[in-house]
Amino acid sequence: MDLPTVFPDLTPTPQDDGPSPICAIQYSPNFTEIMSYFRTLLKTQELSSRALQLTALVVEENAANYTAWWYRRKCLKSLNSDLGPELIFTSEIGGSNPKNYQIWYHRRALLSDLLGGKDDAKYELKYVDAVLRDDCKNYHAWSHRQYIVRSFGVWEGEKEWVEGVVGRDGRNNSGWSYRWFVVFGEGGEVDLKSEVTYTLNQCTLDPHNESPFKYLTGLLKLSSASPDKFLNVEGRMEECLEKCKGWDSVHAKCFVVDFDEDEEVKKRVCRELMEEDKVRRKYWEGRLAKI
Amino acid sequence: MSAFASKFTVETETTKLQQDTEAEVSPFFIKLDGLNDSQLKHLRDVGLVNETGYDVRLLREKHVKYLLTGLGNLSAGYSSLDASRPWIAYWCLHSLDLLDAVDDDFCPRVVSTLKSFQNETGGFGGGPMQLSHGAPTYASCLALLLVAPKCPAAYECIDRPALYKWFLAMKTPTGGFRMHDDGEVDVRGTYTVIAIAALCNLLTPELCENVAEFTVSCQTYEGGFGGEPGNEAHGGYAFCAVAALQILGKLDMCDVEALKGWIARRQMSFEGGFQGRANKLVDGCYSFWQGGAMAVVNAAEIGLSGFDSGVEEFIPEVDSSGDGVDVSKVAEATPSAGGLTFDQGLLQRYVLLCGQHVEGGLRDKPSKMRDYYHTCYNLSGLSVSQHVLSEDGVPVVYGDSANVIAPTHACFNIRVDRVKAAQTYFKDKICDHTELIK
Ligand SMILES: [Zn+2]
Repeated sequence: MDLPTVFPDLTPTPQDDGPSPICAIQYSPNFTEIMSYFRTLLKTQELSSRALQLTALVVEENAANYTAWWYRRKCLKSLNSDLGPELIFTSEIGGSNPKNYQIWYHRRALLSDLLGGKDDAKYELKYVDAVLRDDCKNYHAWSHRQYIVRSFGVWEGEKEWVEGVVGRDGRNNSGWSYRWFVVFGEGGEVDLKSEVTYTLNQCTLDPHNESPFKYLTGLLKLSSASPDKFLNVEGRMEECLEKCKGWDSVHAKCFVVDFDEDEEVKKRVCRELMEEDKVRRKYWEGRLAKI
Repeated sequence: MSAFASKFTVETETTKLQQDTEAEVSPFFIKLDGLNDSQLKHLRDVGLVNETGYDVRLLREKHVKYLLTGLGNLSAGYSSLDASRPWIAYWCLHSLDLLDAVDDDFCPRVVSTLKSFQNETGGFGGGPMQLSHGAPTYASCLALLLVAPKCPAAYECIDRPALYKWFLAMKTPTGGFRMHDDGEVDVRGTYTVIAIAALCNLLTPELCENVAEFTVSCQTYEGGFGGEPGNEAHGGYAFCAVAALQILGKLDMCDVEALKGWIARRQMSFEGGFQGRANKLVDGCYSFWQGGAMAVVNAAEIGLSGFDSGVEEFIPEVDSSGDGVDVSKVAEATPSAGGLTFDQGLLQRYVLLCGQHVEGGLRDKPSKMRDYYHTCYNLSGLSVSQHVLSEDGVPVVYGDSANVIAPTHACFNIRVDRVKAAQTYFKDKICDHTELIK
């Protein structure tokens, strides 16, 4: 794109960051030219297809230029553009920038206007799958998945899907967190028995894995505080405590300190943890003092 | 390799990465007094070990030199940070300030550059003519406030009424804040607005309404906070949430015990540094995000408010010999030292041994490149760990006595004296909703 040809009527606006600016980036001539035309557009607020094309050049140079993404959405709206190709463009830029806030937000903004039905949502979930295949703990991807599922109500199959993720790596804490989102997100009563059974199985596989233990702690805290949200509450606490007392792991011991009713047991386990979990010595001292 | 701390019975991708990291850092934990003469001479020549003993040193001069490069001309490779120039400025200036190395003559340039990033409609963009955004607004204001005692024009540069109106424009009905117009809503938005509003005396009841409620809704079953309701607990977001709640005086609206346990569990047994989330790897930047969050929680526990720093009046006058500095030395085998609920000696050991690049600058972990961001947050975490809630104001220091740096304020992350100066400067300015929106 030869900018002077496309924008013969515009005068480029150089960057004015004052006398002897600090943190002065030595931009390439190409970067400077693109940005100078973009600054002019910001002044004229021209929402045209050539402006849209220019924003593409800006974000290709710097995908974190949130102003350009913002301006791009204004153009798309004003031109009543077809958003399907825009999602593809966004995926292309996103490919090399999986941790870029702007690109993920751009997808959300597009989807909120674009998504007609659940089929579109399923398509978007496939995109998330692809990102998670490269980085199974990508925070943005997990957050985006929640957004899609919540906004478009596509809850079915999500619990089974995330069981697959956790099955491959029980230490994928993002997966555990997502399970919580799915189990409690849709509303309705939760079968505590089946959640506890699943989680205790994972604890058994690796008693040194913090993730299922904290999930279990969360479940029992919530079910103790509001048992009406759950089914099959009776006997669960005893079952968990008994299991945890059988494991020589700091996470299992932590569960005992959190829930056992016998103060002497709590104190004894706290003292053990002060030695075994030495980096948290002060934390366990504090817990001991509060019993 | 039996010294490894992490235990597992099933090998997974996570346990493999964790083992790789333990193998990567373990050579740095070798006993210095067990080294032979030539090895020791090398470490002393590069400055990592002091001349008279076996104590690890903070490479002050080298860090200063590296940080000054960030404030000067940056190569074209930094174009990907063209919307984050206030961040680069803040990371470098705050780091230099912690090392007591901000040059007075430099400050007017900070003001004139950042002034050109400010918009008439309030707030700061990542550069001139860029849309106002919470992150560059936060970074710009902090950078201005930290140079302001040396250059009062920096205070006047901030257009408070416009900033206030912009804050309100970013607020959502649920009590969150957008990062920018038509932008994402998460607890970074909350923290950046609340921290700057507090420092500039703009914290009106109208601005604060519902904000704590939104923030608390981001706490998870693990005890930490995610970026938005439902998201996984994460160190960066947890800090934002905790500091915002503490500034609002509403930390007790969340489950503080669960929070404390979660932060405590993020410290790695073997490495000593913090991880950002459960079952992730250690990273030097979490020395501040997690260490700072714990400092905020611990300060709140003893009844301190958001503006209280938990640090006694203390400006270190340190020369490279460390003479004349009263410090309380910690070793790796003293997990009870200091007033914060984590192992302060072990954290400092990670920062000094694994975080420092021998040519200056700090990093995530030894296999990663140094950068200004990690330099800032390693040093900020070190500062918190040395100063906050230390007994009688005597800093808790690992390694050489001269490693003591200036105290940072855990809620705002500029120096304690900079926070006080800003508070004094803005205290008589108008802080009334109706007046401000006129
Ligand atoms: Zn990091």
